[in-house]
Amino acid sequence: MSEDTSPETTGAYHWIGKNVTKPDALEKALGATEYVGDMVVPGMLHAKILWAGAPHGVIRNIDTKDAARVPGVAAVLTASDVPGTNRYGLAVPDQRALADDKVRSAGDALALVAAEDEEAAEEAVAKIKVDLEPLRPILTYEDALDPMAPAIHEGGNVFQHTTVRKGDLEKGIEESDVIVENAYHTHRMDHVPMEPEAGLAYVDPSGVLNILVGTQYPYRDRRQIAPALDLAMNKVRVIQAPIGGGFGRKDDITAEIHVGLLALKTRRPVRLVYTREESLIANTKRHPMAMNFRTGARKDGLLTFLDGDIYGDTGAGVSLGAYVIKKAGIHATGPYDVPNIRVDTYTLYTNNLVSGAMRGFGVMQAAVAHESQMDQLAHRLGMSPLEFRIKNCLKPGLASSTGQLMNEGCGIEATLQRIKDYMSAHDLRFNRPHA
Amino acid sequence: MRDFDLLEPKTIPEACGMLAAGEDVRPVSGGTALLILVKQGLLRPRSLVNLKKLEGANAIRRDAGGAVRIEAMATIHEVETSQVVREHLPVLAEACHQVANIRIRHLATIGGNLAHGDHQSDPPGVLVALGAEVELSGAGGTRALKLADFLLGTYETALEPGEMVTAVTVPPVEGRLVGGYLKFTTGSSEERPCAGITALVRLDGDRPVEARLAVGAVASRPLLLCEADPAEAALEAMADRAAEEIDPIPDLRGSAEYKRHLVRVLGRRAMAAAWAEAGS
Amino acid sequence: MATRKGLGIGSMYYGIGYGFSRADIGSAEIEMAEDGTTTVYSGACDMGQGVMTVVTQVAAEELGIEPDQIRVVAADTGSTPDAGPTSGSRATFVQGVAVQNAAQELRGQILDMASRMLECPKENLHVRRGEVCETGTDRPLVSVGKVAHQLHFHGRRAAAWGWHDNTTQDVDPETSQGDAYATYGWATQLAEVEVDTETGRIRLTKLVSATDAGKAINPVAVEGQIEGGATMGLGYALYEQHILENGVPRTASLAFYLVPTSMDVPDIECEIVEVPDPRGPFGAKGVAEPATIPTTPAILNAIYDAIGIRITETPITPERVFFAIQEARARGEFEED
Repeated sequence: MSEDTSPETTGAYHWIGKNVTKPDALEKALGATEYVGDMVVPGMLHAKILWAGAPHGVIRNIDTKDAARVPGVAAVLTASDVPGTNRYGLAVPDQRALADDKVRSAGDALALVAAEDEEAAEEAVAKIKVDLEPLRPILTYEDALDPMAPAIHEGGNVFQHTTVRKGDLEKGIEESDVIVENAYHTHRMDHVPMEPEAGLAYVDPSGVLNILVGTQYPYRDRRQIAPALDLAMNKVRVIQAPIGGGFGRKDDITAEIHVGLLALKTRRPVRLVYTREESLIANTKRHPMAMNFRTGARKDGLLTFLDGDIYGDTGAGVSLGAYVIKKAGIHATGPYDVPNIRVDTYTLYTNNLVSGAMRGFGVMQAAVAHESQMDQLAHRLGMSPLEFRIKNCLKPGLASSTGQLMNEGCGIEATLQRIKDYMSAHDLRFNRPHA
Repeated sequence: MRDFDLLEPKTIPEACGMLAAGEDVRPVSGGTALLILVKQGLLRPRSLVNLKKLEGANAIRRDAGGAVRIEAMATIHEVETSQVVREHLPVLAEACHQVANIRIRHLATIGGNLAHGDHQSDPPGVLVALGAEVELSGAGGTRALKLADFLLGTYETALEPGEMVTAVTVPPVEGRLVGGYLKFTTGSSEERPCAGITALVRLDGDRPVEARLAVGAVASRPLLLCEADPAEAALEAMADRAAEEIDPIPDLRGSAEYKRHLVRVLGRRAMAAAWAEAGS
Repeated sequence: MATRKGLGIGSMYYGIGYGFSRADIGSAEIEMAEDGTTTVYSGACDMGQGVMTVVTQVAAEELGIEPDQIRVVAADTGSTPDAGPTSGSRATFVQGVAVQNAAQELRGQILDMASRMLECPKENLHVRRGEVCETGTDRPLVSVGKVAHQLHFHGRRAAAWGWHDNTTQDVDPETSQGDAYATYGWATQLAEVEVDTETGRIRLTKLVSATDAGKAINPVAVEGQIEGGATMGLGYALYEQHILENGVPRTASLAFYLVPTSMDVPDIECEIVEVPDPRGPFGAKGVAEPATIPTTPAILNAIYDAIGIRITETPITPERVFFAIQEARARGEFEED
């Protein structure tokens, strides 16, 4: 453990800075914690989802007759059974609880089944017949930027364009002694929380729809569930169940509306637990991004400008993508003082799986680009990558890419210094730049 | 997952009788491969024949002639930790130690591994390098087959309907075998092999009399190259020949071109290590 | 075997919280029962990272009671107030202040009542280890439970509400200029890698993570975030790619989508840096995301340090590295052994 020398801890605090044991640690270590997948309620039905499995198409018909006849099946529901708006979404309500007019991604839910056991529900799902007229899928950045390509949602495939402008870019370029330019590509990643998505819903005797769910924010869930199912908000109660990780994907609606709808329709408790495979297919992922960066510095080692474009694939729904990509844009400089900036970001709809919040939230991707640029500039200048960063990092009194003045909470230099100390204490040296 | 009947025979003939009932009756031992197929709906067995309770079906013995016989229900972990295997077939112990993770190794059996016919696995290549034979039993009796002839392709074996693998036997080695197994993964450490290279040198006294190079997990079945009276200079050529002859299956772990290159590089490394061990 | 070692660093800053005029709020209610045991109704979801423990420590510190006297009821629209989401590395930073505010108000109620009970000026009293004490001597005068009992007895709830609004104005729509976030997280990581130049395989052999926690309220929990974050960063850098083919997942199984195992994670040195931030509870700020962002760039830079080749695409698969070496060779730019 690190040595703690702050006066607050050595001095007055009783509990701050102490390793108080987490109250839930023992029951989790013993395997005693009941997650939604462990919960069993008398009379409970089991839910299963029919996933689209194709990226883009017009839904001509969904035939549920054979599915409804499977013994043990209590309900087979499609979009026309949803009493409310059927919509949700964290930035804009562009996602459907159940796909209605079109399929927009392979992870769209088409139909829901509730049955006495999972096997019957699975069998019913297999008997649902879908008549889908395929449409040309929009899968690449280029497709999404093409104004002639079919629009996935009304309003076109470029959902958002943001701009960062600071200083005088031309002047920054002129002042540069070295300029580094590169294109970076980052990939789609899944959160893989230990617990896949899961929810349990029941209507209590007072008519309130109760939903136990592994979520990151029950109040926002309630705000989205009520209109989607045409309920008054005070008729919806969302309780965070013990959760096996979320990492951002459980910011979004996951199982809530589906179990809620089935519980309303069947008036019985309904539990939905995704398989790992379903979790990988559905809900949000980390945004793939394409980033073109040009960065300059002077011979004395000071950064001069950043000129960049960031394209983010938010898939078939925005979720939090507009904020993720905007955040990538304003963090594109990294923690450094860059006087002249032009960065444009584009949030693009595609027919890929929806991208949303994931630990790192756009900065994960931006850092791949800005830190690679920093190293290349350092090497071109013959400077140690560490010293180059210390020289350029934000310090109290300097301003970020958005012109925000740094103050006492600015810790980047302290982290760089800590690494420097570690390297010298352990006699670690970079190979490059060569002496 | 659909319900199925679990049948629990006590003897191999009894098990064979049950398996003869039809294609939807499947044998199960560790279940590490089969249950995934069942869960994914790729297999929908009416009955599963549990082979785990067969008497003595996990024994590992060396006979007077020096052959090592591993009954099919021996788990990968049992093979890996068997004194007989460690002493007489250390390369097999080494390869089995690298299969998946400890939880899988405690469940999966050597017989199930071979019967599954999955090319992306560690044991088949090593056992082919060791010249192993499999024993197959069915309602009609028992037969033996060279493992190299048993493995026909991805998920394809010479098993006839109703037959099961009951043992794998490694013939006695004339002289002494040295060398090892080199596993290469492109992802995390518990991933299936992208390439599994077995390099062995057989010694008569101190004299190398044979070199063997087996490539597993790259093509649909293991490739085995043997060279009599090898000289050091011939070892690299063996690896190069393996790279030329192999027919790699491109997948998420790598393109055919990359895998062919891996066979060359890893083949050379493994042969060099085996040769060094032979010389020391 | 042709392996080369390299060292690389990655740094980052990360706006803590929501920004963009999005509601960034915390709120909590604290109630003390007649025996002095206390319940915090905190709307913040604990994801396993430990915000429940953090609010317990904050409440214990402010109330002068032991953490084991505190129970947290969390994240339920039926029983807890709205505390915003647990995301954006904001839970400790925002909800910690809300709980601090609630606890300070409850402490005031206790001291007011104790002052009346003891006929002693409030200024001369403080709470320590569950006792109202005389300031200066720390002499215990009356237990908080007895004071809470008096509050209940007189119909004056021993309960308080605390909130905190961390919402920041959106940046300018044309230039993105403005104070985007209330504060920022800071981190630098050092990665040591081994590159097998013949196969392209990368092994992460060491990772040092210097992460600014402002003030580590629970150092072991911060280390948990740092180690977990670095492991997730390692997965992003080297293994975890969700591949779609024509929009359809090809890696929708853990047999194909590979996460790091304990065998793949090297020694992670947790260097907790503490640059106190006056806006957070006791100077603390979030570390969840800062702990994961620098790993991939540190690995990319370490690969360059090892072999002089710049990889610009993730994940850094062996095949990608191998062909990058081949291309550099073809250009005569690869430094041969």
